[in-house]
Amino acid sequence: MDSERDTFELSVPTLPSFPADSRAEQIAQQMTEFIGMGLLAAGTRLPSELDLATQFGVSTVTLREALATLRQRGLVTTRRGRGGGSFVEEPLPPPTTDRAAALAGLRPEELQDRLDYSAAVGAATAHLAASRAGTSELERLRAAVDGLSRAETAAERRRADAGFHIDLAAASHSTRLTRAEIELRGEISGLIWLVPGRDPDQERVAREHQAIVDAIAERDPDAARRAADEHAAADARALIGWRLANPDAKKPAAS
Amino acid sequence: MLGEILERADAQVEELFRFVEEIQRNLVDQLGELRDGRQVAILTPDLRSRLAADRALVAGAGISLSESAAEGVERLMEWWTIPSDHSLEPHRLQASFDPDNVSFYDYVDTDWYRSALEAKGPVVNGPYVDALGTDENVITLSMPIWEGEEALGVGSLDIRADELSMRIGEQLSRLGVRAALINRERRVIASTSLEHLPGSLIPDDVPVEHRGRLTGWQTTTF
Repeated sequence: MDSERDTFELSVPTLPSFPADSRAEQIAQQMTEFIGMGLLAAGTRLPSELDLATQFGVSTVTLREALATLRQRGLVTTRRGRGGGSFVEEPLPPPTTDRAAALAGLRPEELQDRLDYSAAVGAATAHLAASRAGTSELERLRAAVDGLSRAETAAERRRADAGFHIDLAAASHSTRLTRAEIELRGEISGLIWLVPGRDPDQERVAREHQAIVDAIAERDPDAARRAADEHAAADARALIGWRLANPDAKKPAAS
Repeated sequence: MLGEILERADAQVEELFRFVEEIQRNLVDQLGELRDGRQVAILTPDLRSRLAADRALVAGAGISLSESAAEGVERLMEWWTIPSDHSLEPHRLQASFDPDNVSFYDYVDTDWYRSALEAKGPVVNGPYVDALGTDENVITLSMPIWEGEEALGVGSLDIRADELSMRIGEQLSRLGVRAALINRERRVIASTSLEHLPGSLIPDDVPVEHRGRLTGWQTTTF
């Protein structure tokens, strides 16, 4: 049995964020993304510091540093005493300038590398989901498409989009692909939806999601893979296009 | 034979449901404290060690209260996670939920919660990947918690689908047949056929042979 995955309800992939970041900052960043995507719901109590440290493979000192960063960002509160612990707070909309800096800080090749990986995972999940998705999973996917169409704020759009891709991965019934997708959405969904001055085409994305769901409902794996490929290519064009059009943006200083 | 393997699996699930009932009783006894937040619910050491007795198979168990049973303050879920790694102790995960919050974990919308209330009895869901929970491939056993006529919520227990698949798969292999154990929606739980691996769906026109009384699981040969 793969035991490390059983320690807590959080997948903890190692995010290749800015190389200058400390491990504590990487962990804080990763948990920030999870909270932002709604994967860690407000009110959730985090495991003990020792359990979390074990899971991330760091010392409790490093883990405390990461928690301190999250407290500073208002994403976690810690209560002492009986029934105490660290609790997830409702995230405020992240400062969008950070997002622009994050996107601009990636070289176009780095961005393309992430999006290539995302395209591969997305296509594989769609292909498998077409033969494996159950009735209720299909319903969830339909609901996720509606959710994106109705979303009114950037944060809602981001959550609906990430939710769709993660539900799609779950419908593939592959644990590894699901974890890969959760990790990927942590890396790219903020870049897609939260960069100021970029105007992601909500209607296009909803339409492309719908095409993927239609192919899955038809039980047509090849069509599902094609639809997912087209969707990934359109996202990539939009993102890399924005990055190329903003060549002067500076890489953010490591905090 | 094939029917016996299914019967044994069904009986094991039945035993686990009896265990869920015990856990329910233990946690529901502490409902007053849970509701007014005076105290956290604690599984007795005996139940805790029994929950961890087959930790390769059992991933966790707990209760999830309906909105009315939680008395409007918040949704309540008391969940014990069992790491399969023996060096880690079972630990309690308390998630409290504010329904006004856009990102709250709406367990009342999950298959395992809804279907238990609809069936008014024990139900088995999965295998499915619990993407927003444990990220594990699990099968969930769930049943309503009754207080007289009223359902207070749902008690549930997760088993690791990969482990079950391996155990049943070994039994199927020993029979020397190409066969599969599948669930109600015809998803493969365990199999000795390369064309029908766990997680995949079996087409409707493939005939099935036996049906588990409690689980609704079925067997099929190829």
